[in-house]
Amino acid sequence: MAKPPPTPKRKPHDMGGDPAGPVDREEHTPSMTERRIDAMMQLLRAKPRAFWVTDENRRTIESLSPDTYRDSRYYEKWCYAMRSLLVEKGVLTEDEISTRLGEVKTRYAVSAKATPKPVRATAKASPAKPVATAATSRKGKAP
Amino acid sequence: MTAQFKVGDRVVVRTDSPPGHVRTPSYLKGKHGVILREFGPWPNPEQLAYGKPGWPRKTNYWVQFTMDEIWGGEGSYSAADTVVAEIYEHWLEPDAANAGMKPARRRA
Repeated sequence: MAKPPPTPKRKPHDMGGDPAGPVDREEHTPSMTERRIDAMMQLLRAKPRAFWVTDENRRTIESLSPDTYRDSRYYEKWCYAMRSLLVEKGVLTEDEISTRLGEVKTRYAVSAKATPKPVRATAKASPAKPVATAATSRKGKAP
Repeated sequence: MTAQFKVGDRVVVRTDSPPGHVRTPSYLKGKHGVILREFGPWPNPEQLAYGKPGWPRKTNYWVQFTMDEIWGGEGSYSAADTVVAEIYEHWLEPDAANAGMKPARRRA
């Protein structure tokens, strides 16, 4: 356990010295969702017309609430960062995102009803099993 | 742009808590270390984080700290271990009181 930090105003990422426990070193194949988030991020940051740089990404992720920061997985944090930076840079508006998300949620609810297999309802459910099982199994086993 | 510190200089990390994005972890603030390597000037990440070009450039260093300096005997660690962190020049001040001390030995 470390000494109390010199400043009480630490952001959630600034956790050096906090009680932690063992590091989870288990690897998993990236899910299709994770791959898509990664691809979107690469495209949005591709030169010559990159919308933002890595430092802005970090600043945005560090600004998440401590609860959101703690409870979100790696690519979920990226997703939050993309959303707020897209609005900050004037690429999308909150209204556009909300409207689109509403449409997707409706469609998702309909297709979930029609499909016997359960879909992943929240990002936190079964973290060890990537959502893209069907997609990866088409190409045989992942290395 | 000239670097303020050279390899072997003793430094102390500033204890400021400015608002916004900073690239210096809290657990190193106020700690005494030694310059291990100098990387020259880089765009200031604390400006880049807000879409600015990062001027003026800031010299980046590897600063080495002993485990005792950081944790003060609390927790379990090997006293022979050290922590090396990248810290930008504006976060460092000369450690005049310890200027003559030899740098900590690096783990082989």
